[in-house]
Amino acid sequence: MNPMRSFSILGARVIDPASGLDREGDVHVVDGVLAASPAPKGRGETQTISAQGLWVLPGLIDLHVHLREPGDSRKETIESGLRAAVKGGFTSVACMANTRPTNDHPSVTAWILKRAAEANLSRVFPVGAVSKNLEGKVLAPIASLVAEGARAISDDGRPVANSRLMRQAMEIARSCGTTIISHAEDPWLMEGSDMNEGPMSAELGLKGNPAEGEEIMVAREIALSRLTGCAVHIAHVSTARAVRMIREAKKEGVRVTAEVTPHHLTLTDRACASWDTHHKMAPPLRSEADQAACLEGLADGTIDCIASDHAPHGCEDKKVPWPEAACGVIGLETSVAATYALVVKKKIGLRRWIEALTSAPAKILGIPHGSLRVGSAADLVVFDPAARWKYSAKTEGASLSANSPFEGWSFEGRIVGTYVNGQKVFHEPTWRPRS
Amino acid sequence: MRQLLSARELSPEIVHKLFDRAAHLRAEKSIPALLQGVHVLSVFFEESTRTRLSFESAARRLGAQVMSFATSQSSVKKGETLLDSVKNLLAIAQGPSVVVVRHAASGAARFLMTELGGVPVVNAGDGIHEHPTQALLDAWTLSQALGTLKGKHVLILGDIAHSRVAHSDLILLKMLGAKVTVCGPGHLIPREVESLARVAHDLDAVVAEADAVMCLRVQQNRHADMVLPDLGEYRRFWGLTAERGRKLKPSAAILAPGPANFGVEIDAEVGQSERSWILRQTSNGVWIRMAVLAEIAQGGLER
Repeated sequence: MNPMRSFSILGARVIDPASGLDREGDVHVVDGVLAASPAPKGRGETQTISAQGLWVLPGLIDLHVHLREPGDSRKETIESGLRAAVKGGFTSVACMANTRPTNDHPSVTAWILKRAAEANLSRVFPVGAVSKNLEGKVLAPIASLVAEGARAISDDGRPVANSRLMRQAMEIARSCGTTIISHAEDPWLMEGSDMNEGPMSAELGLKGNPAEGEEIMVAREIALSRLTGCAVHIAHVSTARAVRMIREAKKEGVRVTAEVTPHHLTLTDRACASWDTHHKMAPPLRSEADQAACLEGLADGTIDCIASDHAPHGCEDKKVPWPEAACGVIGLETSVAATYALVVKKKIGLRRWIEALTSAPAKILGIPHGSLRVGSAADLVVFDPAARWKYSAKTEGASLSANSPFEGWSFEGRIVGTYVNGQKVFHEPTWRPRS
Repeated sequence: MRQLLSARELSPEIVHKLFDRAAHLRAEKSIPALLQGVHVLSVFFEESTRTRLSFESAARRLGAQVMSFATSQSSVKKGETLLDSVKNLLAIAQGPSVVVVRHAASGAARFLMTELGGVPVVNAGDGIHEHPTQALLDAWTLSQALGTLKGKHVLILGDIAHSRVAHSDLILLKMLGAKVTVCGPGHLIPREVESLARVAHDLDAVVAEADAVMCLRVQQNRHADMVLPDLGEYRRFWGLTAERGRKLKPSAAILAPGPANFGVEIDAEVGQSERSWILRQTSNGVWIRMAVLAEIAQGGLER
């Protein structure tokens, strides 16, 4: 028995939507695996951790992050990104292919997995590219990427402009049993744009990106999914019309899923009036009506999961005039608190929220995680629903970058402990559990 | 006044104060050196002749030291950023300074204001956002031509969507009580303008009621995608041609922010007639900019 990976958490509220569990009680881990009871006596002392007033949830899963390595290690490394992940409660992340070089070759996939193993924090599921160098011209070797360990395929960062290429990618992806993740925006309507098109963009003199750009591409992806039978997952949904189409497509039986970011659920294009480039991302912050529809979509399950689109950028990329600033914000360390606020405000049910961070993304990636079922790997988090804390990316963030729209925000609810395979990978210093 | 980034910062009171100040400065035989000991950093990251020279002339007339920075000769070619360039200029000036900036990025003037922590910034045009001193000189010129702006019909022609001049003009003219109509091709007039002006696409239907016409410059150099496929077509439908000039009220004033493309947005016959105030706009610009700089100097330049 590995004493470090056997312990019991006592007296917590244990919530696991995947198995329909929501009870007060204990959680037992033996040799890194969830067990019905503690290790038998005579096999050494099992550490016990008191978690009165706290919740134990399955380890969270973020299926859309940018770890920036290989190539942009000044913004983030795989290790620093995973430190941010575990701090935010994420025991599994899927990392996008827009690295340098692009993850369009199995050697890059293997390199990423090796670095992730060395970091020994969250599990990493690389997402391979649809097209070589994300140029959208020639297919990447999708079958090889999947064989090497890619759990989904995406050119995220960019839409795949050529419908014929996307169709072919979907056919191969389907035959390999994998999912295409789509950055669904019309490339020419979004080109050169700075923010959502609307009264705000007109007032600020910034080039607008109309909601219709997302509508057009989501419609296309649904149609191609229907044509090819491939599972398609719409990344960072931001508009009411996209939500509506996804809802209809699901009713029809099309294999479409979707995610939404915490920043789209908490901020609108009005935030851009501050001219703070930490409100610039793609797709852009949208209108209040779009946000309300996304929230409703998450609450009713049309949008399956929450995903941060964690996109680190340095000061030199963001501290410039708005049109020159890079798009994207970090989010691994604030996803939970920012969206828990919506639970507190009763905009989304507790169980749906947890599902959106655990079993739903697990299902999309096809990984055996996101639940607390006995026998599964002990990936779990301890969450303090009453903790009040202030977030500062600049002073306390684990990410190498600090480009967060939530800098200085006060939050309620905090991850205080994260375990992967029963191994403690994060512990919030202010949490002092009695044994 | 601590800075001038946008026409939204103005009010009718401040505007009339600036007009009065400009008029006084113009009438003075000897101008007080209100900017003695002050450096005016003229930072132009976009091509400009008249605006830059206008600001520099205004600054010198008030006794300021002018440091002129134009990107074609600068270290921007070596990759130096806007912020670094201005910080270095301030380090050379080493004294009370005002930054006058023109840049291709909307929000650039505000960005500098935020990052420089206290140095006054005057926006000489930022991307497609605003050009507040142009709006001031346009409004002053119009008030000279028409006596007042209240209730007057002002017609603005052209590419409203990409014109920072139009954006500032629309805000200021509405503030001063003018009735504005914009006219141009559908894809160059954003829907949001409807809250500030009446939108028309048929120029011949509205030209006769105008008390003043402002012809925006056709901006072929700014667009990567050529949104105006044919300048002849533009002139035919939305140009202030000699023929349309004849339909105008005899008292109508003609303005243009310039430089005018005669034969495109305006025919020379109209643009160079006695009803044209285009050259007077240019002269007025100097006095208005002096008034703005003087107000800022009086607001105190120390951090």
